[in-house]
Amino acid sequence: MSGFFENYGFLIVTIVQQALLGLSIYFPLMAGQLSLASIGFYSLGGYVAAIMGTHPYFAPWRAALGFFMFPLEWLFALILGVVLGIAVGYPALRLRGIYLALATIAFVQVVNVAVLNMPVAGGAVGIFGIPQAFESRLDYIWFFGPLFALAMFVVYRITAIGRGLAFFAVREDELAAGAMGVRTTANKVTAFVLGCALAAVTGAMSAPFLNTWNARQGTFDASVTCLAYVLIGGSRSLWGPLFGAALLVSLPEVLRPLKDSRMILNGVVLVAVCVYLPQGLMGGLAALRTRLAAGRGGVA
Amino acid sequence: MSALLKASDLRRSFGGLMAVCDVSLAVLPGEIMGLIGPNGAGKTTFFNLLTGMTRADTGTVIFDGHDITSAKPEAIASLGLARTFQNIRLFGGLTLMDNVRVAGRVHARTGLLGGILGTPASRREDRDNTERAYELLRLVGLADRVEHLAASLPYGDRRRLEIARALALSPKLLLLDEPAAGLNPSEKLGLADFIRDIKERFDLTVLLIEHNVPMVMGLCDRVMVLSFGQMIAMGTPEAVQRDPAVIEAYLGGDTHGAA
Repeated sequence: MSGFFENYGFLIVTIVQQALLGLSIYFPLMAGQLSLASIGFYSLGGYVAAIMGTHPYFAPWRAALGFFMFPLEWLFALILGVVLGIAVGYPALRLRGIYLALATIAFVQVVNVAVLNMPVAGGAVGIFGIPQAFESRLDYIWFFGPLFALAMFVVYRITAIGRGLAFFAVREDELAAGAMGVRTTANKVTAFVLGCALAAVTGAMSAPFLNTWNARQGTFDASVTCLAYVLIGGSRSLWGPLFGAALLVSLPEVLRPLKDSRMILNGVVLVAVCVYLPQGLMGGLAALRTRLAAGRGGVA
Repeated sequence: MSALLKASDLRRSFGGLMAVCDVSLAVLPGEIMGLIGPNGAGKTTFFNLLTGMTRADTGTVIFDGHDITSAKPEAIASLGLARTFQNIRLFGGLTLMDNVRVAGRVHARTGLLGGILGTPASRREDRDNTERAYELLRLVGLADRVEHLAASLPYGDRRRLEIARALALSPKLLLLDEPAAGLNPSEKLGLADFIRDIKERFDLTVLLIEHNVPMVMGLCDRVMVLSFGQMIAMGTPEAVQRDPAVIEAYLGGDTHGAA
């Protein structure tokens, strides 16, 4: 059993880490907003942690705080995520559907170019030798695990309480939501900022986990991958991002014996899910459950 | 008696089309006012101007002492001006219960953080809101389907759900945009009684757009007629029915010739 965790620890933690990014896209989706900005905030959060962890300016802080430097990095990333999320969200969320998606892709590109040209971010090389929080990769589950549990709790509570209905009302029909007294702009920005903040903190935890941080963390490819977690897992279920991340992160590893041709099979699986499970894995499971229940009812 | 809603010289054009042209209207508290006119007369645009969904080019709207001319729809709704839509805009993916509960939170005091943490105040608010929503759904006869999705309802029931949702805002003024459209004759008859009933029960003022002439004549205290964006008549149903300008607008041609 210990061998299993030694071999697959990195994979397991990566699944949770990627599921967090999936959840950061799920938050604005609850209010019907398709945003790909998460990965930009993930990148920035990672730079906050990387700079605070390596820059000489913060050396006295690190010496004084020791391990508690990590939570402080999360806090700074969180503040950056919220402030920048509001600043980006208010203008961007005037756009709808595909236009919002395009604007948030543009945001990711702006962040990418900006960090490439900032000396403090290490340019194209990025930042190396970020101090480690734990000896083993698997131990990083103590970072990502509680954050994931917290994020899932927040999503679950939003679906359970009356206040959360405002998000879903905006998703269903923004105009009617306004006519029913729902503050549409405020709700869209709130859902968006929740996602931004989660992505930024995930980035701040990921910098020590990955040891290095550079502009490749925040590319368009990564944005689309995160969106795929949600779509493949199921965009109407809070477990969707986790299942999607688990499938998409582990699939290339499971198929490793197939060498180069594994990416073909990887693609086949993705297309198959899109064609046969348009509601994602969780949507497919729900449909199956309904069918089984109906079948049992028919026999009885 | 001072007007509950006072629109003055409202004007709105779309490109070269003058959809609403300098229309003024005062709705008195407690009355049921009808708004009729041929297709494309600007009735729905007029509703959109009153509820903040369309910005007026010129003119003002005063509701219950507040200038709402350029207010946002959500602000207008929270002042107590509720509406339904001609083409029914329910939250299809939500249950009947949740459709009504969305509107019921218009005066909610607890926020997102309190809800996530499950504070006693937010739980109490949710419980009260649910009870009230259930009462409203029972009033419109949908209490047996509270957990169904709104999209699964047949047409007539959707209209009733939309009215229940509007009532959840605790409105002073209810705007109904063609509430009888698509209903069968017996449903139409029931609707007039139902509107009178909720008007008494909730102390409402009602402004409704309707094409069904018998219903308008039987239900409304006063009727306003729009044609090509202009108000061409206003008065009791009987007076409006005899007005030559109204007859011309509806039947076309000139009233001296064929008639």
